[in-house]
Amino acid sequence: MAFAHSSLEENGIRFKKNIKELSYDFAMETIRKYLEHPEKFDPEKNNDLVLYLKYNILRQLIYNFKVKKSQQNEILYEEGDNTHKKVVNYTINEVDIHERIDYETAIDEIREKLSHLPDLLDVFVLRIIKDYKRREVCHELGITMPDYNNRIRRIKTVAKKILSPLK
Amino acid sequence: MSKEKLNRIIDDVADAFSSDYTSSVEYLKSNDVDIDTFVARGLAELLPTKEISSKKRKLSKSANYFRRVVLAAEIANKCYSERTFGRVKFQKLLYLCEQVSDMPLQTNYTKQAAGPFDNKFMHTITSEFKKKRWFNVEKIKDGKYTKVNYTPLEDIGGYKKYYENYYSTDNSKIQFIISLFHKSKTREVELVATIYACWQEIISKGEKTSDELIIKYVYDWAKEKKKFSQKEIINKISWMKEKGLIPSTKILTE
Repeated sequence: MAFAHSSLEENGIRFKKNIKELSYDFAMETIRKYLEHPEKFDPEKNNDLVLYLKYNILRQLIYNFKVKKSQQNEILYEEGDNTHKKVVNYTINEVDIHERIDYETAIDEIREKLSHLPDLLDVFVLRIIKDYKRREVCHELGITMPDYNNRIRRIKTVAKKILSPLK
Repeated sequence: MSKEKLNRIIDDVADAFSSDYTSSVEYLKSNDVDIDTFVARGLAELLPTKEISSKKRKLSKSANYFRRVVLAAEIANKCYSERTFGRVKFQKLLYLCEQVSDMPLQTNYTKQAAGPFDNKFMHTITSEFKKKRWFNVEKIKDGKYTKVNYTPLEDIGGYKKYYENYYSTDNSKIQFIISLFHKSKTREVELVATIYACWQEIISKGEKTSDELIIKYVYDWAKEKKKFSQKEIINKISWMKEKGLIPSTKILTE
């Protein structure tokens, strides 16, 4: 439920349903899907059922949901005006966050915010800019995965204000 | 930063917050999500058919009693050699095993100082064990304490066929409880059984579960429960959640 809640929260999309209820629905749907076909979980490949539920079912459900939501939006250009985009026909005041962010500016802002926090900046640069995998980041910096997760949580606090133009 | 990189941050953040039980709970609490309420609701949604089938299989009084004796025999057989296994621990283990079992056992647990206690049943178990030549039950002096010892007798194997017949589907859950508390001291098992009973009572009343409310129910149980500090109770609640020892909607007494 925490995974679902965080994924939905960061999307910047407003939902008709309360995020608590929505994340609960996603968690329950994940469990139901697993129970429909429990044989698909192969403990010999990976014996962690929670990881399986998160990455094989839940994440896909949320991605599908986000794709569906973004497809509900129509984006039109106003006639004669090439500098603006006007979003129309969105069902529940949705605005695709990706259309609202100047990515280059955002990345510069985050780096600026992290400049006096070198332990967080290192993680951000390796993971986001240099495309390192999480394990590679941990190896490069000589930190554990729990340390990595802790730093990501702190980066989120900084990045949230930059990535949440609707809030 | 492309959309892909943005998704990477979102995924990493979601993973970081859900990387373990403690992080997940803290994150949800900080977002004002009462996880216990959702867990209870989820369990109720996923398990309703079990409750219905339990009602259909109501046992006669004698059948019910015998099934409980058989379960008690299994617990005693697995634990009798442990120094920590005495009458109180036995009672609490029996309570917990009965709670996790799907067998529709009719019980008569009431709130006593040492936790949920079925006085009537526990008084008869000694004579029942002896009558069937499964266990001898005697009080012995262990230092300055008096302890109840359970010693297997010649017909100890006699209960097993009944246990396998009655509890085959519940066996893994029962063994889980037994192994979880095999070496535990009585105090710990008493606390878990009491928390479990309080938690179950809160759920059955439809109240919003919280650590604070469980603590209140524990302290209201009996004045003897003040021996457990709030921190101890909170830690034990967290531990129970980690182990999946979370009550469903069965009520304390029937």
